Amino acid sequence: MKYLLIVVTFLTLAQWPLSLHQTNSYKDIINDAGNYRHSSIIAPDDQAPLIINTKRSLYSSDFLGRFFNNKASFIWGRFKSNFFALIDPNNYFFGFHPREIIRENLNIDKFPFISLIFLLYGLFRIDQLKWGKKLLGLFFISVAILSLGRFDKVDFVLYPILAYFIVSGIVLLKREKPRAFLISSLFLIIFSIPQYLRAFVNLHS
Amino acid sequence: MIKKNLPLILLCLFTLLGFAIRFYKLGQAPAGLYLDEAAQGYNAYSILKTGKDEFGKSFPIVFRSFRDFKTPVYIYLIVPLIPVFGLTPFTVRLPSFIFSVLTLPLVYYLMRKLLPKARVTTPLALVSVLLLAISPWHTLFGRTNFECNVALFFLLAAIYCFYVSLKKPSLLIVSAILFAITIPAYHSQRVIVPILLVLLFVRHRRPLLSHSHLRPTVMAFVVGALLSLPSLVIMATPGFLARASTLNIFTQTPSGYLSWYQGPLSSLINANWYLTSREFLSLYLSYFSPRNLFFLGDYGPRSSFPDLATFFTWQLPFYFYGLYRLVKEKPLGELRYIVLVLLLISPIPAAVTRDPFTTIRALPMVVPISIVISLGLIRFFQLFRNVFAKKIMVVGFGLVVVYSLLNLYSSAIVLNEYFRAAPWEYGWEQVITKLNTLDPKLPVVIDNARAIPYSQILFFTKYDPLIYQQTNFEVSPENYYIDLTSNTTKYIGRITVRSINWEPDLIKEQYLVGDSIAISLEQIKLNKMTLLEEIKYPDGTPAFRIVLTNPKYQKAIRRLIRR
Repeated sequence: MKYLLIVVTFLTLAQWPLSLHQTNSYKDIINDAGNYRHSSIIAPDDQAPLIINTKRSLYSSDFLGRFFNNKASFIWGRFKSNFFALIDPNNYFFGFHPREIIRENLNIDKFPFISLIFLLYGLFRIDQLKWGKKLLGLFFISVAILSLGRFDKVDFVLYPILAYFIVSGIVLLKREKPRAFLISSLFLIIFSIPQYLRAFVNLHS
Repeated sequence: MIKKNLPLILLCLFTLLGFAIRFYKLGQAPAGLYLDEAAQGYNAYSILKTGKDEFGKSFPIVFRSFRDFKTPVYIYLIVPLIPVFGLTPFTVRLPSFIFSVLTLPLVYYLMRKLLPKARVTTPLALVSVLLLAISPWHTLFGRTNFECNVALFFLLAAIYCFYVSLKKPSLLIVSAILFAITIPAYHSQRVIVPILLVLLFVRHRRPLLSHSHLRPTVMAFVVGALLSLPSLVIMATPGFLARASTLNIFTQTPSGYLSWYQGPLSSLINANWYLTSREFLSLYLSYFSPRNLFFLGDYGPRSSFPDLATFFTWQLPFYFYGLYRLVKEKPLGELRYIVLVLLLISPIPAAVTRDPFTTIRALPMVVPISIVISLGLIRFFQLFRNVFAKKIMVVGFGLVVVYSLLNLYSSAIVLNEYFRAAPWEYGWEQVITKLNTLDPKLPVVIDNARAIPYSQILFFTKYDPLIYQQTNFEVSPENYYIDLTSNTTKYIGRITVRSINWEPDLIKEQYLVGDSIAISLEQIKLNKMTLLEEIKYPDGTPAFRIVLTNPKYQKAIRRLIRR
């Protein structure tokens, strides 16, 4: 069981760094930081006033038109787009939907999808985790900060927090429900074989 | 007295709110009538007038429609409404509206039944009804012709009767009948109902197999099986299976297949079991994704409102908290069980199809998610002990509800009409109105190169179904469920629905109807046709053009070319 725990933890945590290494995208972070304003949620958009004015003109009440369609709602929409992408479990376990291409870095595999069981169990037992609630709060604060701009090359900062919950889930499941842990681990190992092989094939493609 | 009846008063108020939201401009917004709506309406009209559908099949078990089969319950529900309200968009959307509104009190009474502790259940049930009443997801399907909404009502009614029957065994048969109606009411219920029945039976096997219940249980099983038999038999026909196989993820190349890799590890790298499981689980998880539920919504232009997801953004934290409380709170008992079961099995039929997030197929989820959000809201409210803070929260909640209503109005009525007119196939009613004012002796050709408009033509002309059946033979009754080939040309009196064939069509004096691609302004100018009407979408772009050909000019030109 001890070795199984190590194998499961390793297979779970190795995926995201491997995927990052595969895409090499982290090398552009400095360049991107220089252009941050252009990729932030307040970046100017020539089309925005046009869309806002078209929508406003449809309302019989000017107040309603302005209330739902204004510059702030446009920026808020961009923020929400980033925020919801960052809190989407599909982002971390499936590279979003398998047939959905978002941006180059968003479709990378971050954790094996069977590890979702461990994350959910970790969150379910959050009361038992010493840093659980604080880290969950930190996760949402980090997500909110990352949502202010293009995040797909820096979202790796969320890795330690997610890893904490997943590893806690692994440990607690092993302790509290050993049979469920064993079954989940077997599935994880079986499904990790093609997943990791695919990562290496992509690496040399 | 008022305090005693307050829950009932609030239930009536929330149901009335749901009624008003769904009834406002029912039949007018969305403007236009989609081909499926028109086909269902006309088939109901045909059943009413002749006892047969448009293909001449007497009282079908499932309705052949284009290259698909439509579930029968909704169509048969329209039939008695036509003599009262006529064949109008309002009538074809009315069953959806009625059952959508009836779902609201049903949810309340179901929750009360599942958890009889009034102090705990009443506020939770009332908030759930309120959230369901203003839910964009439930509202959309309550204002438009979608069978899934009617199926949801029957599903909840069947569950309600099942729980009542645990004390009154005779109601088991009523529950079985309702479950049997649910199965053919919408395709996805063919998956949901059997799983739910197995789970309910396993959980309540002791009372169901007890001395008092055994006979009703057996009778309910027999009645349910007999009523479901025709629908189940149809499911095995080649026509039905052909449709199912084009939709599901198991019969096609799985997503992520690396076609360029042909190395020795191909059987592992492109393993079907791995890729298909991954795709299914990803699709399944997407139905719980906050991004889909609270931000993106359904990608389909007819199954969503512009700028609005399936739930309001403000509900997100309560969704998370409610999920956590639901899993943790075992005292919620049977309510917890049913909410979890509905939550977990409802996305299964949707997750086996390719579409990333389809709210039509996963509609039963709207009820458990509304309950989850309500639970999160109520438990959050209970965290505060201070009366003043509680009052502030109630006022805040009231303001948020008002904001949500305005948001719903903005998206469903204002923006939807402008941005989604084309997907709702706006314009056919105006085309028919205009054609009725033109010379009735001249033939009409309606182009169908990019659309299948014959149902809308039949609907708005209220064409005699008997004549239509006689002049448009397509399939014999014995091949009705098997042969899915269809005629591309339809004859509706003086109107022929087919692709425009310019060469011969221009030398005959007739009216041509088509979209802006079929009949461009250049084409009209070049052939000296007369533009009689240009029907425009609300955004000003042309939807359809009606022109009169100029055979004299054509003949002169052709004579000139021959010389």
